[in-house]
Amino acid sequence: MGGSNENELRWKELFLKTQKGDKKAYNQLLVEISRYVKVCVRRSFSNEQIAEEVCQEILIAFHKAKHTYDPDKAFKPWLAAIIRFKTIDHLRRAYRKKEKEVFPASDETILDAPTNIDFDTGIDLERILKGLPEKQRKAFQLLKLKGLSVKEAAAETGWSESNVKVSAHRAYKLLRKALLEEGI
Amino acid sequence: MRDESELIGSLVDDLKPFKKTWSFWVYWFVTLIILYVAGAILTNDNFDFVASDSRHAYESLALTLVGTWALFHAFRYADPLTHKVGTLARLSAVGIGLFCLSIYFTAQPDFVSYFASSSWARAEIESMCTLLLLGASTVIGIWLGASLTRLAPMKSTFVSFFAVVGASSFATMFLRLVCHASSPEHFLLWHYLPAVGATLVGYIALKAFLRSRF
Repeated sequence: MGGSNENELRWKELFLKTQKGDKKAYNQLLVEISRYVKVCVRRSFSNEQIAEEVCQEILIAFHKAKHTYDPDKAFKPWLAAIIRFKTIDHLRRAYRKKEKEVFPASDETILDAPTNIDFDTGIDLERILKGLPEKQRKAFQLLKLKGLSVKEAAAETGWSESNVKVSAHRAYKLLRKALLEEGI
Repeated sequence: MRDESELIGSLVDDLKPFKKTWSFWVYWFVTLIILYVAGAILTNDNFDFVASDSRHAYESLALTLVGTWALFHAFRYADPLTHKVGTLARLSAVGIGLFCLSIYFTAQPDFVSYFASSSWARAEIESMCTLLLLGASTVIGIWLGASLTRLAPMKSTFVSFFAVVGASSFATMFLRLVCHASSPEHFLLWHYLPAVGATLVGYIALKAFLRSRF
């Protein structure tokens, strides 16, 4: 509690100096509040990279909004409001992006899957494919062997495009596992 | 994504002298000045407070109240610390506006039978009204958008909504002083309907603009 009050007073003092154009005070203020911002943001984001990104967005928003701070009011609640809004904005963007994607962006997609299977190594691809569930096998055959686009494959099978992508992605994972077991 | 120390360095370098933001009433006053001065210049003889009857006066008063209320909330929500504006104040302002509007409508003789028998031929087709309304809404909308960026409009949904309602209300009020038509059908078709359209388009545009700035 004492620490929190000390921070409030110190940051407010630094901010008032910043308002008069003191760059040194501003630098110190930004360094100190960035630590506080990181602690707040890490409660919402476990991914280190995303948390860092959001922290930077918050610092930029703070920089843009700093002239609106009323010195008669407490500093921390004002900063906390900015942190809250930018965190919510980021979460909103992330949810919208996730709705469009079928699977997380960090996973490989079937569209990125290498097609450089070397048939000269004697891999019995047909046998391996037969081991796949029918839906996944069909998706893989249409996209990778026949060379159709996701849209074309969806039209041929009557499935949705996201269904085609998910099935092919699962096929790719099983194939990779099977090929590793074969020693490829 | 930049290194944090690099970002902090660039923000410190970017530190400029603080500009004092004006009080809300200054923005409100300037908005009215823009309307009246520009309106008088552009519409010349048509711009007349006294050519309207008492119904027009009530309607203009109601629209001014609604516009002021909306503008006030737009500027309040541009402050990051504003969680919610007093419900009582909002309801009171809206109530006064609706009351004035109801006086206007009930001042019509035999209100119900009037609309039951109304003919849309009395709409007095006048595209100039719509053009004036859209022009006035756009000018005020741009002025308000620029004004709001002097604050910190992080709640872009609320800020945009109230700002465009304010802009449309003031523009419709201005049009009321210029247009001397008398049929309610004309007001509905060429004043209020375009005002609703301008509000929707303005909301989308202003929200996107404010989000890009913050």
